[in-house]
Amino acid sequence: MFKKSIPKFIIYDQKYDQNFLNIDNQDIYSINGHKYESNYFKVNQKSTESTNDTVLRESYESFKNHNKEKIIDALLLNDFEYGYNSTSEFIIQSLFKENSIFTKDLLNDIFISNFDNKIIIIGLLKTIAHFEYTDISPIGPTMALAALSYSDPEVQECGIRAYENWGHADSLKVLNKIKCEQEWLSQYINQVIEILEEELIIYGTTCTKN
Amino acid sequence: MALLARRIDKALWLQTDIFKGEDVSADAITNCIKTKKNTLSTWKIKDSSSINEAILALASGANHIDTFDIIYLDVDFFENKNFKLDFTPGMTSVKDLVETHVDIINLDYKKLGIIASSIAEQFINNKVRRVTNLEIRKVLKEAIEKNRLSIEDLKISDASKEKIKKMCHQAPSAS
Repeated sequence: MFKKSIPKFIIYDQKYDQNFLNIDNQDIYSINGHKYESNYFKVNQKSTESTNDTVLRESYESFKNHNKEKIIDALLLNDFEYGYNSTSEFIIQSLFKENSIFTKDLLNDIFISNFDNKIIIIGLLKTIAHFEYTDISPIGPTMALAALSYSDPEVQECGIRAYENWGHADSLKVLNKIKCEQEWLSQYINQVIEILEEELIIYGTTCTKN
Repeated sequence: MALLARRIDKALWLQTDIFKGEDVSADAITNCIKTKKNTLSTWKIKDSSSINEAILALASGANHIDTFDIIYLDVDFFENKNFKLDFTPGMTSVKDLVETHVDIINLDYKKLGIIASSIAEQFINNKVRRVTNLEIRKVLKEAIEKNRLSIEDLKISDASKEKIKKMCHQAPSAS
């Protein structure tokens, strides 16, 4: 999230190598506006990482350590019923108030690291579908998009439902390009596309920010 | 012909191929016909053309406007099978619908199985209706315009209320 791997051509470039050890630390990690990390750098991490980055990374790690299991437990143990609140929703909403950026990063982390766990993925999708599009973007739509390629129709449906709930014009771009093997899901996608188009025509917009 | 309507989750019923006679999945039974004190909650409507009344009853008590699936079963079917029905006040903000709530009571393993089979039959006969987010909002909007419901009585988020208000202001009544 905070760093990317450094391109190999830079790691082995002797000219850069010399400079890495000597130049101003503020510039070392920043290449073309991106921040980089490698084992090479980790040796000097404390001396090269800016204080702000270190504080941010440590704050996120602490946030993650405190909340990750709590969210996963709620997702696993909760009974989700369409139309009704769930415990995980309350937990995530309260974390959003604490730090929305960290919360979104954590949800993304949980989603990726548990992608093989249908229960967690469904729980997450059902939960994020109740957030406003602008609040849960960009991770929400990305999760819903990933759900559409899942092997299980129940997960795919959750992705479609999320796009339907958000009611954003961008949803149309995605849903228009999706094909499902299951007939009932294809019908549902078509229904949602019609709804979104209808809302765009009648109401001018599909998504309102609260 | 009076009917009893209940919300279900289609995806759970389609986990198995009930169209080819496979057994209903356990998820469908434990989630969609989950009982409390051996009781199952339903809403009574006079016929299938009154389905919006059941949608209104269900949606007006919810926290979110989420698409749902609804099935309706013939009241006579339950009476013929010796099920016990009990009119109890329903959890809805629509006052004239409170008394249309019906509990199917004294359920046991066998009776629950009969209900599961009859729901599966509704799928086979293509009588399961998917009610979309927009349809729910239209039904709520219409009830608000007819003063059957106040938007403030709904438990949904302010953002969802705004969407319904916007529909009330910008579009003619639709159903």
